[in-house]
Amino acid sequence: MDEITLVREMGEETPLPSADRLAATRSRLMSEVAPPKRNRRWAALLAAVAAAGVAAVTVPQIVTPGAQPPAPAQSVAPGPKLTPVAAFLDQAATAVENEPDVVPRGDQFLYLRFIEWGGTANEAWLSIDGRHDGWGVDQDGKYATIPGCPAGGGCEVVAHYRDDMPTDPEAMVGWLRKTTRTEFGSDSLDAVTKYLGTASTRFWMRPAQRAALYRAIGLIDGVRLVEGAKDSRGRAGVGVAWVPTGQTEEQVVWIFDPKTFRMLGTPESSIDEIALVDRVRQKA
Amino acid sequence: MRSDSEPDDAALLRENFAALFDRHAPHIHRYLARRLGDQAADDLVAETFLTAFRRRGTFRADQRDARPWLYGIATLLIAQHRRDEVRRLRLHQAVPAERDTSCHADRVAADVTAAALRSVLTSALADLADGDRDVLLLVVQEELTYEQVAAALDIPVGTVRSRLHRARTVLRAALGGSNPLNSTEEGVRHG
Repeated sequence: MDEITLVREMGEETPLPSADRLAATRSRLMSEVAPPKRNRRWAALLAAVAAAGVAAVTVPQIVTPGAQPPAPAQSVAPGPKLTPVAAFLDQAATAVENEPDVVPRGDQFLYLRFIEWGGTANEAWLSIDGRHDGWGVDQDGKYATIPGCPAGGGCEVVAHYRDDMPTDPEAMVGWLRKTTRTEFGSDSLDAVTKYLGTASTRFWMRPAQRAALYRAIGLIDGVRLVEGAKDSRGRAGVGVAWVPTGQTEEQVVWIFDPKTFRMLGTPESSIDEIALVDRVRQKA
Repeated sequence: MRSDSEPDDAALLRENFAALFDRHAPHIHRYLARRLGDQAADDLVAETFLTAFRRRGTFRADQRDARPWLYGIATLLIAQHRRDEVRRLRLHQAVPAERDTSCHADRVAADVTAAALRSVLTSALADLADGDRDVLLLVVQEELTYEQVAAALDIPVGTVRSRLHRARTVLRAALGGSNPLNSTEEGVRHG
């Protein structure tokens, strides 16, 4: 009897599990992977769209600018050596930089249209200066007003354009930390990573700002590229994924078109439209 | 074998995850149970499919069959429990197979031989390099082709062959040296 037969026979001692044995696992699993319910607040929904996949990720290390190795002295104006993911995001940033530079007016709206996994479309109109009433899906799954905060209203202004958002990737890392601290009360790497996911669609960004955001992601240690990733509509692209420290599982967070370098979305949700409009319910 | 009229796994992954689970979970559970026991398999089969769900964006649309990919995810999870697997193999080695005391002396002798063989086998499996053991078990027990193992573990087919060869050599040596009659490649599905 050879070793192959012995190993095979050893395996044959374990039968396939019964359906009963798998039933509990199946129901637990399906409750976790069921398509998102619509009865979430619009803000939570938008955050989930952008941060999908990030939520379960623990903290990757952000490489601070000072931690980058110094360039060799003998080189003539050497650029820092880019990892493949940083190089890819640098190309995405370059593509973004060629787009028209539009500075929004405070009374305009950021129009977002996502196609979720399962085909549901979700739209939102977010006030640029946070002082005008927007429109989006409320917690009952119906479209409703997203209240703006008028001047002197004693409420919290949630703006969707920030002119103080940096255009330099290293400064962007600092800005992300500072903003995350304000939003979440912590600038832990975990919080920064989550915020980074939401920031990508939550703000109207000028080309230089968006380019800086993409390059900032390239500074995060543990980010890698995944070939053939697909967004919720099945559009294939290059996935940018986080691999949490100490884990082997990678989480595809964003998917980019490999030719145009435009952001397509996430595995759970795809970006159908991001535009600047003058009125609520105006489509781009 | 599935007929062409049934949806392929790429479609199920997008549209009907429950059906994907029903199609593959029994085999993935058995694989995990073979390596880590029933209890661990219950937990890890859930983790395997949860990971598959989260990573479904990485599944290539041109692959009709998700099973090798799922085996790959399961193997990564097993890697996080290497010590448990090795401990389990050594336990098998220490506890001889139960014998029916009422059986004939010849049968007892045969059982003792089988138990001894099993002990040597499990010990040798425990001694294998992790990657070699992964390949051996995926080929021999799970009946994956070399190409499927390569895809599952994200390694070249040549590496699958060399790992399998090395694993067989170690096992053969442990089981009593090279018997020319046992050295054929028969019994292994070629990729």
